[in-house]
Amino acid sequence: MRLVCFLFGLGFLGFVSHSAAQSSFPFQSAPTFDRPGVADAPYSPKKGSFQLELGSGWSGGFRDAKPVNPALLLRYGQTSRFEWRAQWNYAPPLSALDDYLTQNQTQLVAFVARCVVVKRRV
Amino acid sequence: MANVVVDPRYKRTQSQGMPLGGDLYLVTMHNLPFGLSINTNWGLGLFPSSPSLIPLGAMTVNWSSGGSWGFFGEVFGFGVKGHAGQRGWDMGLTCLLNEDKSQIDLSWMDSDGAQKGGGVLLVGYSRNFSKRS
Repeated sequence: MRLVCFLFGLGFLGFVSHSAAQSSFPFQSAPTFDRPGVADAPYSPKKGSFQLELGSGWSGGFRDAKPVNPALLLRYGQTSRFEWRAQWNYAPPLSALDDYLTQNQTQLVAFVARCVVVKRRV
Repeated sequence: MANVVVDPRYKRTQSQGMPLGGDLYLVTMHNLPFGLSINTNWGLGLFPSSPSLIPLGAMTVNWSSGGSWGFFGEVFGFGVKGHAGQRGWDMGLTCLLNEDKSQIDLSWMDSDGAQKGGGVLLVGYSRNFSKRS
């Protein structure tokens, strides 16, 4: 089970970045994975598109690795500038912060409305 | 190109079962020459037991030759020194398996918080349900 979580879980340590680095404009045609709360992707899914992001990780190196709780993110592009998000088990760094503050294991559920307010070429 | 994104969040925890606040921050991206780009995330977050807003920030440098592969390096941090602060970094590579459909990312990260060295694997899939794809 740990292995399954390890491989397919989600831990939103995604990478916004890379999609942004994928070739030239427009990037909206490509998935834009991110690490919510740490480094969100600058692009939203295409209008009418659902995007599913699933991931996990490990902490502590290879020999004493401890799996990071998997996480899941569902995104929907309602317009070219507005998206809805629903995510379970927030980004590990942020949940880790919650743990640090409360000393408890914290499962997070988040609902997000996201709006691109400026979109321009330079 | 530059985007500015307002990204408010609403969160609750399983353990406390009540709204806990959220984050509000800006996301920007800038394309540079030679396949380089820079992402930034800056804002404020409200956490379960935090008495005040906590600053959040991240900066990522990406590079891609224009093909399916890309590389990135990132530094991030939140909180303030002496009050639940956490700093970290990560770097990794990404591969677009099927353009507009699936993507996989693998990275290595480290921080002075709970994530002390470790890897992250992320798989994504997207589907367009609109009539005109």
